Amino acid sequence: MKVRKLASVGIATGLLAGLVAVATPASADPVTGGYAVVGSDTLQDSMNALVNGTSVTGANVRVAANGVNLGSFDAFGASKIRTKVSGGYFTRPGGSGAGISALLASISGNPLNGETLTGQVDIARSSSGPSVVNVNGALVFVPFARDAVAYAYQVPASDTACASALSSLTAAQLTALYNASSANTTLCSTPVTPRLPQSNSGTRKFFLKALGVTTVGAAVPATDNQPTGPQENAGGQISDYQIIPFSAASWIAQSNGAAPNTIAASPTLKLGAVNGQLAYSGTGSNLSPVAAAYSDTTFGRDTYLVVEYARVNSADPKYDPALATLVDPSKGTNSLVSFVTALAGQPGAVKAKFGFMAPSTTTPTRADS
Amino acid sequence: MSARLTRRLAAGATALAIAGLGLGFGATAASAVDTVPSTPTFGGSFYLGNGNTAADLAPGTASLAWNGADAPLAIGAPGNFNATVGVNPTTIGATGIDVFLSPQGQEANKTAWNAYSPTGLSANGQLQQNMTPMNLTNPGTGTPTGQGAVMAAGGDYSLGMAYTKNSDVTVVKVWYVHIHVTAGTGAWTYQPVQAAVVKTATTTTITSSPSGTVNTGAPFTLTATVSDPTATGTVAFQVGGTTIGSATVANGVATTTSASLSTAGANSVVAVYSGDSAFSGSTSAAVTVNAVLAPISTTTTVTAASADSTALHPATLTATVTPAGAAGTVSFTGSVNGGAVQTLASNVPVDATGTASVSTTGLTQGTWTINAAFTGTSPYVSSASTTAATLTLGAAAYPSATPAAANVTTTIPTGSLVITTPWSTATPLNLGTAVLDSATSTWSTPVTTFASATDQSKAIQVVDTRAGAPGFTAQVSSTDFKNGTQSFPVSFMGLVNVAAHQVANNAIQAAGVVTSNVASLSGSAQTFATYHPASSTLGTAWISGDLSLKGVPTSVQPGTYTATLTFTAF
Repeated sequence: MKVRKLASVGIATGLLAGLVAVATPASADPVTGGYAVVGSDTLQDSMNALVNGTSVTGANVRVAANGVNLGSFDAFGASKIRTKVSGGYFTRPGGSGAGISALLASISGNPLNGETLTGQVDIARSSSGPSVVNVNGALVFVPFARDAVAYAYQVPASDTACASALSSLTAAQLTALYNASSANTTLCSTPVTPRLPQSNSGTRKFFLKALGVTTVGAAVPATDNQPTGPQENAGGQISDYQIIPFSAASWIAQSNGAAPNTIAASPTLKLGAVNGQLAYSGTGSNLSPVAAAYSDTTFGRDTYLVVEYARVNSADPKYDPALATLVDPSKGTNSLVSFVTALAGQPGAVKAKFGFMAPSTTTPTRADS
Repeated sequence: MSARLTRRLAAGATALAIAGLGLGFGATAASAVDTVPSTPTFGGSFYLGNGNTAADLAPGTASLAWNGADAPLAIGAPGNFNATVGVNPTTIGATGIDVFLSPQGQEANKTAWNAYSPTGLSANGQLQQNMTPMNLTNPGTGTPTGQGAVMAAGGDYSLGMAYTKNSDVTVVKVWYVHIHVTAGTGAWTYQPVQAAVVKTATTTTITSSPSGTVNTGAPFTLTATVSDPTATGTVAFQVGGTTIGSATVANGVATTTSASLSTAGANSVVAVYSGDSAFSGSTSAAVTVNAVLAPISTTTTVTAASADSTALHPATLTATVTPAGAAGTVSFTGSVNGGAVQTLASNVPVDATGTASVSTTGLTQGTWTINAAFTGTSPYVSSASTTAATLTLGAAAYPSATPAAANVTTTIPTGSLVITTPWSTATPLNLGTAVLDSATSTWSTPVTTFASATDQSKAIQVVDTRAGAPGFTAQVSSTDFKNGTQSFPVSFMGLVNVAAHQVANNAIQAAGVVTSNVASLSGSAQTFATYHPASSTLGTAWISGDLSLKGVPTSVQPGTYTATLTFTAF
């Protein structure tokens, strides 16, 4: 279900959240007029769960620091969203980069894509680190969880030789695929086409950076390099004899049923092992992240929540204690970025259910973008 | 802690069990639970734990931040974050659940709630439900309205989870705690609650075994039966308020086998049932148990001593009875040289030291074996010595008597020997008229028998009283028969069939008398009886015989003829 508009914050919306949390994994646009969260598709499902309430761990976990509820908006859906009662509609930020851009526009008041977003975005989900680190930057990237990026491949079940070939690719092979000017003809008898998520995808950005690909080869369809390109971390986006970057956390979360499962409909879609290291263990709906993959300095990645630094700096007149609590890892159950997993009622336990591991650091990074 | 909470803690010290929670609240938080009225909508209560540190948040004392900085998660039991709160919603027909803040007593009245927030409904009860008051973003319609107003106003409220149905309108059951909020800061403390238990009245009965009389200090059995077999708790058995035994109630019965009474006499024993979380206590009617002093076993030992070991001199017999103070008497028995046992002393009182002692001069020479027997006065039990005392006494040292000479005289009479007959001159023996024997032409008389065995009064009697018992010889002689001038010889008369007869009460034995017939009497004495046995005796003897005449010549002239027979004895 996609909710385009939040008419108000009240009894009706609260009730809806409570019931939805039990029935299915959170998948909808936010149902609260509190802090607005936009951006990364990779973090979308786990954030939806945390702010809308989830019982994926057995406990009802809902982060609503200082009584302020949040609204986490999907990366994809209806083209326009409205996050605050006081605000207007604006283009849905689809991905990490778009989310950060929207946050910056919200802070500055500068129009984005011809729309004024002032005060409409409070938190941006980012599956990749800052582009421009600046100790005096307006933004602060707070580590949220650690993910690993791998690739998904799709081969007809009959072509076991190709499936075997694609099941494990080295970083060098992947680099070659994405630098190539045409589809690969050596891995399989049928040419293998490299694909990428849409241009605002954090996963895309991270993946290419990990491979050292600065200019995407012509083998990647040109349409993939647009904001309208393939949705990241979703099934049904590629065809046979194609590969695409995929978040290991998302793969695990969807397989386990924590997040809406978009990959089940594509039974021949498989997660590949980068450098021979598969990112999960287990089978079926009982997958667990593999630390060796997540801790890989190249393909493992910390993911972030990005906020305006001034609002979490207690010395600043713009200081917002509720928002500061949400991104303070020491605030436990009131914090989105805590990764304590000991109790089912802790947000960290929820994130673990969504295939994440603890971030490599809890130290936030200030940046311009 | 506020004064109000302090007061509640004191009230909670009555330690009622929490009904419907089943998580051991009563045991672990005996004094930290508020009691609330039992209502159909009361589901139970919970504890809070810090979701960041996984540490318990202490009821009554932990001061919690309104904004949830302490991460208050509802947990079913202290220290157990995985203990859920509430139930499977389908079992109570619930379709939703709200976390709510309400005035106390209005937990199930949604219109009175101050604030609430719907939350996810879990199948097996709520696990680690976040109970941060500030997160209850939906204002209710109660007063004050909204969580912020409650924070500002402070006071006592309930914070909990309400299972609902009918699209979150109707409250089915509530699990909650009492909280006390400090106005302004919103700092709050909490107190689990429990439903007041409506206890079932009980009756208790008591029986004693044995039912009549027991000994003081001795264990006996008391059994109390509580009217409901599911009752638990303890029973105290009391006499006049003093507990003499106690037992745990199992299946409605409490039995002690170690009750004892210290006071002799009639004791009224009652069973006091403590009651439990579900049942009121009760006291039984009294059962009367008579107590008597318990028998006290005793032992008796005996000693005997003589200063000079001499018969008939004073000897001291001593019995020692333990324990000292045993009341009663002692008797001493003894036998000399293995002879018959005789009583030496009886009813000797035992003194306060347990000693009974007696001195006697009655012990004769020989070796005495002496025992003592204690006859106890209740409660002291009688006992007897098991090892005899022995005492050997020598002969008494008294002088013997000087023999006394004394003459005794007597006179033995010479005695006499007298022989008599029944006849005399005046009263002759008449032989009758002679009868002619034609064949021989002689006269004969009938035989006259004197002194027959049946008529010994006519016997010849010999009375011998002569000293020396010489025995005797009896003879007979006779004159001829004469009639005036006429006569004929006595030789025609014989004394035959002579026999001796025993006379009663006489030592002379007839068998010792030798008799002989005199066929023809003459003027000379002829012996017809002698008595000269080996050992003669004195006394009377009777002798019988037959007298008759035969062959008297027919030449004899008629007339009455008389002869005189002389019997002599010497």
